[in-house]
Amino acid sequence: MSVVSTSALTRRFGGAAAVDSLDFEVTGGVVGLLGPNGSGKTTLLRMLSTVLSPTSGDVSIFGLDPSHHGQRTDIRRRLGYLPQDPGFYRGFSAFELVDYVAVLKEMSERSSRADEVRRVLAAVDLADVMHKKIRALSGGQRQRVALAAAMLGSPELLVLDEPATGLDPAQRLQLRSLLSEHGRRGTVVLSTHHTVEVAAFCQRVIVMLRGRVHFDGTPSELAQLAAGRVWVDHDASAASERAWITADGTIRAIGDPPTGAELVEPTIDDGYLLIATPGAVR
Amino acid sequence: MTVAVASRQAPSRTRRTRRALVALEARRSLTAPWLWLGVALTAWFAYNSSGATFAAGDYHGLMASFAGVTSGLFILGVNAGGRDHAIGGPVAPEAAVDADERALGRLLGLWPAVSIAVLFSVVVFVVQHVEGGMWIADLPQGANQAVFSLVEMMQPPILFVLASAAGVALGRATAHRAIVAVAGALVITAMGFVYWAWQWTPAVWVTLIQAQPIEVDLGKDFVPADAPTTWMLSYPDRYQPSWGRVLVHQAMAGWHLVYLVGIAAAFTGLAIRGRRGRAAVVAGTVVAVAAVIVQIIVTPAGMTGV
Repeated sequence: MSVVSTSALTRRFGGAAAVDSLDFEVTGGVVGLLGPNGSGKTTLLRMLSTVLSPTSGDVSIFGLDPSHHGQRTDIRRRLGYLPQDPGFYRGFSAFELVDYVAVLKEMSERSSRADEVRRVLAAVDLADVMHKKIRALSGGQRQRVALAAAMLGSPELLVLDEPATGLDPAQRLQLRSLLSEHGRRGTVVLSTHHTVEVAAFCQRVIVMLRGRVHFDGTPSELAQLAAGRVWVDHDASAASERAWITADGTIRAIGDPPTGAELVEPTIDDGYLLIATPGAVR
Repeated sequence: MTVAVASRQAPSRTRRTRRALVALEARRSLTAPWLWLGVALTAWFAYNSSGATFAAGDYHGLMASFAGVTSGLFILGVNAGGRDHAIGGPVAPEAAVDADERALGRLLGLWPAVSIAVLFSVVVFVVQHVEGGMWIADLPQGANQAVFSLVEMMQPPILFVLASAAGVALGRATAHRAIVAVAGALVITAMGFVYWAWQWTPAVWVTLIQAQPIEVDLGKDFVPADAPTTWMLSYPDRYQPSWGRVLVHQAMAGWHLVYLVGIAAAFTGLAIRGRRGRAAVVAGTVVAVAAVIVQIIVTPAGMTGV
């Protein structure tokens, strides 16, 4: 059974369609959304988290209709959401804030709620600063507080909008292990600008451009889109769509390789760039 | 014989969650400084308003001093009601407890603060009664001291409820909590600590804090010796050309209370919104308007202000 299912899902802001006739299903695991700024990722995630209504089309979560008040509440009981810009009460401590969110998530029994709050804060490695005021926390720590709040009650569906923002490499590794573990039991849909994150632990990747899905497959399938179209050279070539100088001083190029070019194994970055480069969509 | 006793139905998830939210909000309202600052301000103003050199000065001042606690409760309400305007965006917008239910929990969470404020007002009034009342008139036929009537003593508790509801409603409605809190506190202060600026008759009907006694002009031909023995009078002086009758008008005070209840209901409706909220706004507005009209009707002819 699909956890998320959309049909001709559209959301317009004024005349512009942020999400345009989207059809897809998610049945489980970790799904990564890639796309440049303004491609509609955040709008899509807001609709999946029941925070935003579609202009037209349908979205179904756990087989329920979020436009129906009662069903929306049932969905929300099984959902965790990390917005792109999470809200904070600066005067609350990390514990107090997550505790407050726990109440909003209907965890009314005080002692079990406190245990759950400690559990999620420990899971994001904030146990030692849980009594510090939000205003005294770093950006990365705040991001983890918001992530902890989203993970309260181990929701069946986690919707995360750029969860790795502000995290250092060690924290990103921890996030990977946390989310991949969650994805084994439930479903995670996340957006990111980091293709390396997607390659590391997403079973499925969706690339969005201008509100539409331009790729839907596995990370390795995304990388393979660029097979035979990535080469290294010592000089820039006019044939490349994108080219950059690598650490060893050679130029790595993506596009239609010139005759005799030294082809290399593509990465997910190459596949993504090939799709996301204006005029390069094949 | 076996008697079956129906067990009390377990509270619903919604009710249990509401209780938990109320408890959290209650704790926050009591640990914030605003109520206590308000109490301190009221106590300071009440203390400093005693010993006035004109009749009813202390009496007016004591009632007006409750503007301090009222302002404190308003700020608490704004803070609680505006929690969904957190920095960055709403907190947990996907949570099962929706915005209207949150507002209700936040409103109800102010009840311990309101209760403490009410208790404080009771203490103030008990002290006033124990001390035997305050100088209210210049030339008594009987006594010139008075204590607050029951109707007058009910004004602060209703004001406290009104300020809390108004705070939650306005806090929820705007992202600019600090501006609303300061502006609201200033308005309440203006209607309290400078009550004398509201002594022209129409303002007495619609002000938040109605500080009685009122004064009724008795005309230049009035002879004090002819007045009933129960009347309390004020001398003609450079501020008033003729004798005046000083009285606490119970009907005016009572209908002013009804007016405050109406506004409190309307703000409660604005705070919680939804179907129940809209009904409360309509009912509260009707009650408030009707109460002002009745005040106009019962106001004695010749009233010159407070």
